[in-house]
Amino acid sequence: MVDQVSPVWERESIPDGDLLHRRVHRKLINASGGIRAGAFTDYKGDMSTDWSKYASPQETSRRGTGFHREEFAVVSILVGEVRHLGQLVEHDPLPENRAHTNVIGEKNAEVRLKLARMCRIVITMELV
Amino acid sequence: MVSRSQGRRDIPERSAEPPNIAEVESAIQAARAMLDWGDDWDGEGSQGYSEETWQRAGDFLMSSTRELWHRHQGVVPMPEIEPGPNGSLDFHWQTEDREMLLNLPAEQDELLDFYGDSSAGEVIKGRAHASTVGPWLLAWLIR
Repeated sequence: MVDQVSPVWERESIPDGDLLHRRVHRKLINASGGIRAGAFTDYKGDMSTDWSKYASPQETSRRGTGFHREEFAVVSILVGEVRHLGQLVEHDPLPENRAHTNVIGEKNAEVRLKLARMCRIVITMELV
Repeated sequence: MVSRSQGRRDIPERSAEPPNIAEVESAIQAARAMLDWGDDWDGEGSQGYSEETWQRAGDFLMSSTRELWHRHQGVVPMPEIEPGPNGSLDFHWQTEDREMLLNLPAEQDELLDFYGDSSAGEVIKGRAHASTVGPWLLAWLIR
């Protein structure tokens, strides 16, 4: 029997002009279709995103389990703008997700509000 | 018959309650729905919301709304009450020329975190105890 081998991806540096994609649950979208600041929070020390070099918004939308894809929108943010807020953007590829990228830094009210303003919705969801 | 106000200038009596207090109360009640979400409500592992945090958020908004009215006859614009990180709640105000996000933490001992700016370039941000800054922050929104 042959052991399954997981791919090991090299970490790369991400240019300022590239995009980060992030899934946003429908509860983080307000009545007028805007993204709430609560969409930009850390989980276990950082905020997970996908680098546009290795993931399309559609691929980002398919990640995660236990939820219907229709419950999520996908937003994109320019890497340079995220760095301008004092956040570190670090490629952190996972065996199953070469695009995985961490956004590291305190997500205080200022950072969250500005991320909500600067993001662009690239996959919408039907508001229920 | 002589009117009680005869001979006096009629001055409109100041209402004891802000004119939008029922609307504020109703927004707080609507936000109670977040208590039913539980943990991992967004598929990203986010913490759920407690009755205690919701209660403190409601007390903060009601008392700040009343204090602003009684001190300055100011009427608080209606905020969106939104899910925040780690069981905290966000208040989000957007007026014609000002926007402010105020985060009320899940832990009572932690400080409020706020950021606001205006189209004229004013910026207001910081951390403070809820008991000290409520009416002052709301007054900034209507200045």
